[in-house]
Amino acid sequence: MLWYKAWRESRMRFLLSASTIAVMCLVYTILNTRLYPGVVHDHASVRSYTQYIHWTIFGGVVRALLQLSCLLLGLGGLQRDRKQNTLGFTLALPVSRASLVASRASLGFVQVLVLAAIPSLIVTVASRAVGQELPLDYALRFIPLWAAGGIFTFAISFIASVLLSSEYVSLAVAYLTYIFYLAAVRHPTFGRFHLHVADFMSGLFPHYLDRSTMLWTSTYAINPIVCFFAAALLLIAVSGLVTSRQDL
Amino acid sequence: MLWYKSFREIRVVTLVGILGMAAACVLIVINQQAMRAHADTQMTYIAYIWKSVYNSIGRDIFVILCIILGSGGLLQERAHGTSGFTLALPVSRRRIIFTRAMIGYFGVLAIAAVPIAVVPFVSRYVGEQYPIGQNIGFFFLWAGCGAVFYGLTFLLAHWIEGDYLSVLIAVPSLMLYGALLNLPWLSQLRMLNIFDILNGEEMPYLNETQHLLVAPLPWLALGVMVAVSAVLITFAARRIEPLDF
Repeated sequence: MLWYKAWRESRMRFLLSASTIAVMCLVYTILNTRLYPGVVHDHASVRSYTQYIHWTIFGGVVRALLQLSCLLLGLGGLQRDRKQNTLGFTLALPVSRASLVASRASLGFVQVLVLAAIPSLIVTVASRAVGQELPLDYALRFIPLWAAGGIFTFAISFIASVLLSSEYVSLAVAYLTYIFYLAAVRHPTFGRFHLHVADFMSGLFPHYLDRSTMLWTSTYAINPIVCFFAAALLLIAVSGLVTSRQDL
Repeated sequence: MLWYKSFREIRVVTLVGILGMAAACVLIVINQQAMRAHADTQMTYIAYIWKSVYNSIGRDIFVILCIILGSGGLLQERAHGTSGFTLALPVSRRRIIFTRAMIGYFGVLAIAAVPIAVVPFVSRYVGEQYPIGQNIGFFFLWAGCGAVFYGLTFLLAHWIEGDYLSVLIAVPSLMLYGALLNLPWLSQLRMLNIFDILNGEEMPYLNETQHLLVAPLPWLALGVMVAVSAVLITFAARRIEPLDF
């Protein structure tokens, strides 16, 4: 029942995210012949359809859209219930606060996983429909990267939603935190640690992709995926701890 | 009193935005030496500021904050069960909407003005100089373009009920608009590219080698943007007026 409650609270956001991601993938794939010259103008290194798809979808706008969706999916929870004067009903349920946090987090993980899988499937099918070739194997390899990176992004806003009571302040703080995190890990001091989640999701750090061809190399390592997932779990665990001690 | 009510509703987001933008500007300037030393190509301090503040982190923060400031409003109050109190005030709904829109836009202007106060001042602290006139020029560009981002989200927030849904529609809409600008016939109309107007990229008023605003700003385009935003806000008011709460 807790899952159903969490689903009811986030379903509009999830369905809207899924739709917008699907639409953006279709736009870039179906209109590829018309949009290609503009993308080449912006990124001179783009010379093939695969590179075009990477710069627009797997490492571009659609990836950013997925991350924004993850930030928005992470918001909500008990603080929002308090704002809407429904906190009493939620806390009256015969479950612990940790269960409430766990159900919301686990549903969020599943939602992020589904969102991460959408582009790979749509782009492969749509590419074939417009006479272009994009191997399914190429697209599928992005799913673990997008899922781990997306869950990490989700966890950032999740903890913001636990700490702050206003929905829009939580969103602003979560977004600013995310931007500052990206800026910090771009600093030369941290550059060698490959902590940039957006580049990780794009397959650029660590060097999963050959930067000149945007094709997969043989260095597809599982460790960074596990690390981002573990970092997300840690943030969720902290959120759970904070929630269980919070005076709501 | 309505002004004060609207101010109370958005003050924390505005303050967080101002502080976030100020922190971003300070960190960008303070780390300039390390970042420029590790850049792919050599660049001047002025180019670095343009790339970091007006074409990257600062711009991204500004756009999202405009969108967040545009969210909220009477439909969200209905979800919270407080719309009755607002509607019981002895003023028209139109006035409530316009007051809220004005105060929100002042928030957008406040965030856009942060680099004027921070960048030249901190630049001096690190032994560099950035002309304040450039900051003022970019302020006007941000104010014009920000009005559109703000107006679009404001309309969506008064059209669709549900937390964050206006944000979730506004951002992909802008992304879709950005993608469609790559269409050959649309890319010819330079003044339709709001993202390029925002930072001056490939625009006649920005010198791309020096990264300085050199020609008069596109006042007509900026005026049209503010007018478009006013139209969007009027639509929002017209949508709310007959609504049964």
